[in-house]
Amino acid sequence: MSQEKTESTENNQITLKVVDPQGGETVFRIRKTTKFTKLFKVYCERKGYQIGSIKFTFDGILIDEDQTPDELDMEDEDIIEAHLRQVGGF
Amino acid sequence: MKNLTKSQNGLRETNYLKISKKRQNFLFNKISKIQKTQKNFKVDSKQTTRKKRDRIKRNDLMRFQEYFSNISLPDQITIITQRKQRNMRKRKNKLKDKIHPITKTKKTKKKQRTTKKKDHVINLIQELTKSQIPTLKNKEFPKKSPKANEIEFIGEKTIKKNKATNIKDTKFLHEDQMKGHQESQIPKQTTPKNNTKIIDLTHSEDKGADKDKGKDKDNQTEKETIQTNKKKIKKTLFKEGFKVNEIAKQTQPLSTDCKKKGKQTQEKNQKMEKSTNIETKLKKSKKKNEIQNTTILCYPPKGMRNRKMDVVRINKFDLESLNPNEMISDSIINFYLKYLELKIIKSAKIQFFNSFLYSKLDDLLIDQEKMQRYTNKLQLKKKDFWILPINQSHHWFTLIICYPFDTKRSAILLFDSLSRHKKHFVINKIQKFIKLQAKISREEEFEPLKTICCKVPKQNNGSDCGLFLLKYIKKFFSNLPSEQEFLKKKFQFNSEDWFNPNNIKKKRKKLQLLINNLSSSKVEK
Repeated sequence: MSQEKTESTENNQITLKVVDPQGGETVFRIRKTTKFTKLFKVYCERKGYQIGSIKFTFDGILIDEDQTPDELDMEDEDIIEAHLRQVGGF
Repeated sequence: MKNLTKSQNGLRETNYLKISKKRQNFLFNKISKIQKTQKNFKVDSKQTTRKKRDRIKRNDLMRFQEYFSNISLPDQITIITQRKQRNMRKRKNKLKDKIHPITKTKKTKKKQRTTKKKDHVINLIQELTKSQIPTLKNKEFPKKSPKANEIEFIGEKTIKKNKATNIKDTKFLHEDQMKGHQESQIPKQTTPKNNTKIIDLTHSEDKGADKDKGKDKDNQTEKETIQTNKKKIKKTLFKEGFKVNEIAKQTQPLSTDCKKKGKQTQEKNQKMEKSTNIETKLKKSKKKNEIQNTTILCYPPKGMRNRKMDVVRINKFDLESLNPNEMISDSIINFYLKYLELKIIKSAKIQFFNSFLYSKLDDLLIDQEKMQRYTNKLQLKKKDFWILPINQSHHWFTLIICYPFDTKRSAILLFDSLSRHKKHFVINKIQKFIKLQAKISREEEFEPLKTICCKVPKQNNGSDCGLFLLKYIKKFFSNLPSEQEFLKKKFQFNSEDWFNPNNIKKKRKKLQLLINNLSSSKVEK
């Protein structure tokens, strides 16, 4: 049963790598039409970050929660980079 | 004659064997000492002390050997009961006193030695137990109990029934079974610990909740495995006939009396209270985080978005960073640069980079594929100005790269409101970056750009550098330097035409107003 399911939904799914600021990697499987909110939430919970304190870039461009992989033309095994919040004063 | 000699030798040997080896050594030392003293009447004080030390050392060694000879053979000791052990100790002490009458006089030294012994013994036992636990695991709990589920739920009741009998045993059983039950469950729920495993987000949200439960169970099992390990150590100790007080204290003896049980319940209640306190604290912190994470603005709005465009989300935390004497966060700077790009400076020949690009620049310089992925969309060749905001060690500053592929007018302008930091590394990196870009775009004539540290109005305090950065960029494009200035590569920014550094604090309120206006206008739509 499970195999049939995966076959039917394979076209919509892609795997995305999220690279930490320290260099570690986590791999997510996500539908192309789901928003990134889910991915970011799971990633932050897993790594123990606050959700707002991490910024994500795809090929150097900042990504928002409301966007989907379809909007950004993401392909299988693309890499998303996570950055810590930058603060500067002096 | 031969027989006589043999018999004499034999007699001598038997006599010799009757005396223990320790005694032999002791006597030998004494005799040798006497002989030496007879030979040399004058003996240095140092030598005597040395000899004394040597002798003490040797004696200690002997005693240690005695002590460990018993411990290394657990089969003998298993037979011996506690009383017998006590008797043995008494005997040993007597023997020691006989063999070493000198030590009796010096009580302090003896005490020291005894403490040393204890430490050594404890270490040895720990080593022994460590080596024996894994084997015991396999022997005692090889199979998971089939009725583990039932026992888990009825566990408390069974204890109450068996109060009359040994409570110890039931407890052991109960926990062992619990352990077996959990061990059987864990492999079924494969919680992804390694980074290599793929996390599925395609299924419904219920499964995510299940995963969290799995995590909690993992924690529980970890705690219980530690407890069970401690108890196993105790078991092993009982089996081998050891009873060392220190270890017993560490592992805390099991409660047999009802009073102790009452104490335990009290402790449990206290723990519960503590946990509730922690929960309330966590809730408070969560609420704080939620308040900080409430989004105020998402810029640019959905109609204006592009695939090449950064989308900046401003939280309450970022808005609070615009309060006086606060450090400015990255999203404010990225937002304002985006705002400048879309609303105020509408020339298409300027490339605004992220503040995060610089942090990834090291990787880009090594990995050419990555570089191409980053820059192919942007068409950098057609652009005259590149703007690079950089955050280094909690300080904001910018680089504006002018006409990178025009050899006559090219320059890197460095705007820094504090001239404190050394910029060699930064500029080297950026030179390499531009060189690689020239390679990709196949420029034939390329020379390294000249860097100019611009003389600009500077900050007085330790919080405004982000605002200065924004002001520099805005001012630079509102009145661009003339062609001649680019050709001569001499710029003058410190004139009165630029801004007054004392008025920079007004910028904070202006930015806050701007963000609030944009968010309110979005809501009205």
